[in-house]
Amino acid sequence: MSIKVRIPTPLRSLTDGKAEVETDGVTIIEVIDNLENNFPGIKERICEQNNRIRRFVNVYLNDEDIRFMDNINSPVKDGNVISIIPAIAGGAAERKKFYLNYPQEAIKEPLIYLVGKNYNIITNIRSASISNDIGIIAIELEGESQEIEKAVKFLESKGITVEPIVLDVVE
Amino acid sequence: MEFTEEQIKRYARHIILPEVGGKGQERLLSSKVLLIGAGGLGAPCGYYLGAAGIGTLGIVDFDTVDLSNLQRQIWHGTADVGRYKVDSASDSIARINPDVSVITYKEKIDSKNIKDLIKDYDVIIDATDNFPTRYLINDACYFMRKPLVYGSLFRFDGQATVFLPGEGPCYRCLFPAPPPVGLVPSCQESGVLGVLPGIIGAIQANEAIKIILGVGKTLNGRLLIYDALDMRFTEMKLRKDKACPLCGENPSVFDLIDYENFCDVRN
Repeated sequence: MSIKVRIPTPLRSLTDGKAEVETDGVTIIEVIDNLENNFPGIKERICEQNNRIRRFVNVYLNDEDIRFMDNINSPVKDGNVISIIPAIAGGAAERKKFYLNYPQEAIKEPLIYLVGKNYNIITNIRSASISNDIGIIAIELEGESQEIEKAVKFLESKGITVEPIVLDVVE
Repeated sequence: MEFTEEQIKRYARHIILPEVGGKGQERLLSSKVLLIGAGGLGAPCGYYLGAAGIGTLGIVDFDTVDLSNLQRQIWHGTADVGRYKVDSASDSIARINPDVSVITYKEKIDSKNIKDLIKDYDVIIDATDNFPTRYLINDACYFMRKPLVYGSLFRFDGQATVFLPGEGPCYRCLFPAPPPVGLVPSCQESGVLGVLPGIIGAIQANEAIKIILGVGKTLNGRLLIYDALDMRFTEMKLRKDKACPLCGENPSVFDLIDYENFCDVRN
């Protein structure tokens, strides 16, 4: 009994880079469980805790979406090919630019250092005007959007006004 | 429409095809296509649409050209770094084909402006790079009954399909909900092979042209999967989902979901 499972690139870090792996099982969920035995961590990328396939992943038995069959209980036969197809959005790096307006009392605090240290973010100051009582910095934050959001919240909690730079006036 | 001598020469290899002919070329020249995203997918797609003589090409992108874009966004050049992508794109199209009237929109697309943006166009092309915008485009195209040509990529994987509202499935039939942040790595961590958007973007142009001409069989109802590393194209059946929150039997999405709210839901 041999079932081929096609692995999408986001999950190949779990399959030693393999695009296709062989496993067995008589239902989809058995195949996924066997996959998990060989490549620990892969199941939670495909399934929720109750074994349901995640809503942004589709599993195909040959060319049919298992949601339109018996879902995870769909029977699997020798020679079948299972494909795991995640939603992908593509595109380029998440990099956002902001103006930071400092209130006077915050000017002497090393806030940008703290953003880089506490969040998984690369900071890059593109222009700045800082004196004893005014602090305006144009900064680029690079990282996952969730981390950028956290960093913005942190800065705001320190009294900084954070204003996105929509037009690229810095370049 | 009377072709000029130059147009007859320019489009000769189209006109000679029975599936296109003079009528088809006229149809292309009087068609309006909206390209959302002037980046990796948008560049090859827009180039081919321009070369094919799409009469009106709308291009939406609020971003400017960055040096790191040039590895794949082939209609921008080194000298364009710092310019608006839509301006650079518009210049590229003008260089290829003066027949095309390019309309540029330096706007971030959101639930307030999207209906106005797409309403005058015959075909919409999703060449964007993020989930919130993709869901927004899908929903707006469904509500306004606009054919949508979808393309997406990640590292070495590409996906393409066509959504025809009222006739076939929509993006939410395929993926009802977007992934939460963190479960899907961003391109920044993993990069994207520069040629990949070239291939998927060209497929999108091909599908848009077929929709306008009304020839052949589009990807409606089929999800095309491309693996650039193994060099394999596979095709999956894409069915209309009765439980689809947008176009299913008991829909729960009745209006456009705002970008920011959507991000909150994601997180």
